Amino acid sequence: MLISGIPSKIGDCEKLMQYELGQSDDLVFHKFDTVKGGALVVFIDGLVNKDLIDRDVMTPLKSAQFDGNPTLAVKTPFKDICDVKQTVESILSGNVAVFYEGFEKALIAELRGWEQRSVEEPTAETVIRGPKEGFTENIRTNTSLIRRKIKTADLMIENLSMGLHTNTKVNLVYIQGIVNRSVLQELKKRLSAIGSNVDAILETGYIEQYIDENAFSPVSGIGITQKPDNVATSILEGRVAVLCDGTPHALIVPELFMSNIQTAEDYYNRSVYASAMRLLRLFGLFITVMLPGLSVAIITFNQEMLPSVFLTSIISASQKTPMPVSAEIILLTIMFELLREAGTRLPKAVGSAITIVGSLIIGEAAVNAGIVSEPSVIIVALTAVSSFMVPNLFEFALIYRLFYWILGTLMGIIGIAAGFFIMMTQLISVKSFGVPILSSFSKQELKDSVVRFPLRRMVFRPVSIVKDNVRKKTRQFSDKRGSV
Amino acid sequence: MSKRLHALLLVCILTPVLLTGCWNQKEPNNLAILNSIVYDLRDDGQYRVIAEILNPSGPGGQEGGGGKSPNLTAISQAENVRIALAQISQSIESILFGSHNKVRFFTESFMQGDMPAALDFLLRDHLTDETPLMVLIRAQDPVEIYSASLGLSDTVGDYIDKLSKLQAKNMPKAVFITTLDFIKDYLLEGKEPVMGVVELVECEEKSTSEDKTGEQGGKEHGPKLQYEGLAAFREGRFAGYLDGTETRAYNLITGNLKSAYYSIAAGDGVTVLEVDKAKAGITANVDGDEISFDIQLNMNIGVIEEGGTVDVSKDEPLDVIESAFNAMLIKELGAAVEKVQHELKSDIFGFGAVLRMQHPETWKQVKEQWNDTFSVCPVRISVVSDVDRTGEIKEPFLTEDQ
Repeated sequence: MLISGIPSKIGDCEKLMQYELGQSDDLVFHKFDTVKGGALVVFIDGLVNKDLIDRDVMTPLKSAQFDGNPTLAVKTPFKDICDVKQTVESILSGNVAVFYEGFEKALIAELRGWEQRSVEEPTAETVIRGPKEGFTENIRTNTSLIRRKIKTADLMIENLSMGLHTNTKVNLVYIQGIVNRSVLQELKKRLSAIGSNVDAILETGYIEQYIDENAFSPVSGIGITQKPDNVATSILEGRVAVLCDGTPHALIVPELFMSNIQTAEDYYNRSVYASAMRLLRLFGLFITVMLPGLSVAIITFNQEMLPSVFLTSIISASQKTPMPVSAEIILLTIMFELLREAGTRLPKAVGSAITIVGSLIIGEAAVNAGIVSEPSVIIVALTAVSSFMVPNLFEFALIYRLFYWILGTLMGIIGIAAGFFIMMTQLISVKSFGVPILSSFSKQELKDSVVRFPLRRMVFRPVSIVKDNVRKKTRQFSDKRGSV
Repeated sequence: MSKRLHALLLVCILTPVLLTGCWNQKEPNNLAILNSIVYDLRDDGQYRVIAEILNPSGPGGQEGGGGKSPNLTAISQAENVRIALAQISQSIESILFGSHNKVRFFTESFMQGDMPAALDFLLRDHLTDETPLMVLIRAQDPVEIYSASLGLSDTVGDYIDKLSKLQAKNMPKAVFITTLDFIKDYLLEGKEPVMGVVELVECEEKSTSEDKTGEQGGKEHGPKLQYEGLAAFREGRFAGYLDGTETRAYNLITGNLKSAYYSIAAGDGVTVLEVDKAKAGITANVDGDEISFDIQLNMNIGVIEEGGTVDVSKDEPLDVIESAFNAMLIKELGAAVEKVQHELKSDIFGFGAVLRMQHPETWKQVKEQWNDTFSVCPVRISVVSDVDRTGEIKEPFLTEDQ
């Protein structure tokens, strides 16, 4: 059927729509007669608010006062479209299409309404101080959460449609005037390159993998968050956020390495405490990445580094166990990962029981049975606990932990030193959309990297990201008098 | 990409190959931690090695004792030290791990034997290091030191190690010489090395360990270790001992004295003085063929106790105390120098090194027979002392009125 426009006869309209949309169970074709002529309402059941259709579309059309002009009768904002393809797309994304005898256009009313989760506290990024709200699966809700925090005309929300079959709505959120334009251009270039060339975009994870330039690096240059305040902070520092309909996870580019050990809460707490927490997290990262390898290296190669008393304890513990220290550590690590994975997939209540009780009981039993020694359990437990301090660097920690374990087992402390050199070389070479991810350690950005200076001292945005308007539009405070 | 990959592969492959010295992986449960070791030379020319090894299931270990001894001693003898060590390793079916060794004990007979060869072994073996203390045992049978009663420590190695780390300030009559110190002195031209001395003395007062509840066997009542004095060496062989007082003089002259207490009779009672900040300077004088040395000592002293009625807050009585102290010290130092020059004939003070620095030409002429030349050199000693602390009360507790 080669028809490009909407037919004038209502029966042809129905046939056309049935041909275009197919025979799905949830498709609703409601044909009725008004006082002037026939009308057809097409929508997908479950995606629309039927009460509103009834109130704003059906009732006015069916009323006795209807004068034959549907554009005057329909009581809700609408668009009229002549193109069949656009009409079909609109229906599929949850709009209501109204056809009228002799009108030759489709009236598209936005009366979407479907079941959705309300704004809740995200399970991953919980905070003690600061807003608790998190993104939902609805992109409009998410953009509204951001706009409620940044009420300026400079806040830009650009729309893209991605995925050949999914037609997913993707929004780029940034602040005009602050955003790094080359990053924005690069991002748009990469997004349009995937655009409709991929089958489906179901989550930001798809986008992340398609636009990531460091596919083989354990640390990615793309940040992920579920919290609108994190997005707000990031875009105020010149970054771009990518929201995707259907997922509460937003992407942030460019992402620096140090952002992983920083939290939004750091800016809500006092700077000394926040700095201490950052140092602690950095130490936690060190522990979770290096401890297993380092301890294997010291215990099996460089025993002279341990005090005699400590070494005797280790010897006395490992005399009862059959395996080498290195094997104990890797087995316990694998066991912990098993429990952790099991705990994540299980329902919440059972999950925590599995992780905590499981590891405790199995660890204790393994020690009592003489399969592993206590020091190994302590090392692996400490490693595992520390890994939760920097959840964003989970992949990074896992891969480098294994790397250091191999080096520590084969070459001892020299291997660890060589590994550290390789790791630093790798980290330094990683760039996120043209920004080196370790640029937080440059002189200009030290006020907000490992430590955080008081807010009144932080007058510059990160210079590696922001190119225009580097100085914040904050009034300059003098420390002593409170104002200049 | 392929270039980078190749470079990475090259690094990964070459690093382990180039670091072959690190292929010495040792599982901890195969280790026997050496805590102290005794080198002995028997009359029949056999070398005897006694190793004190920490017992991992002893009090240091995890089981919290359980009646097991904190250490075990393994003894072996063979034609050389290395074989004896190998035999010890074999007898305890573990790898003897020397990096935790705290003390190297030597016997007189060992040190009268071929010491350069022993030092060569200590330095050549890549698993021995330079940190352990070197101590000479002055006892009939060196094994006895392992049955001596100790302070709060479990093992002899820990006991000596803690003395050197915590108590060196309170022990002016002892020297703590690490292997590195010893070797430095040994190689330095114009100075002979010394070594700490440990001997077994019978416990006179048993009241200190009379606490019956804490007793375990007869160890508490055995002889106790006394770490005092020094052993002097001459040309690589043991030369003789200095006793505690002479060792204190040695420490003063070499500038190693951290703190010492002296009691002198000045006025009508005994005054106890504390010496710290002692500075010693040795000057070599060459006059024709005659070489002589001046020892100048500058020290600050404090009054710790005034047993008589001397008012130490006044200048005049202090002068009396100072001159009495100086005279006493000159006598003590003189006696020590005399003994070293004429009896030991070993330049442990480093006079030769001073001469080498101040008069290098003269040194070249005399260095061949230095120990003989040194023993006849006149030595002048001068002491300048200054009482700079007299404590928190001015007048003596016992005044003349009482």
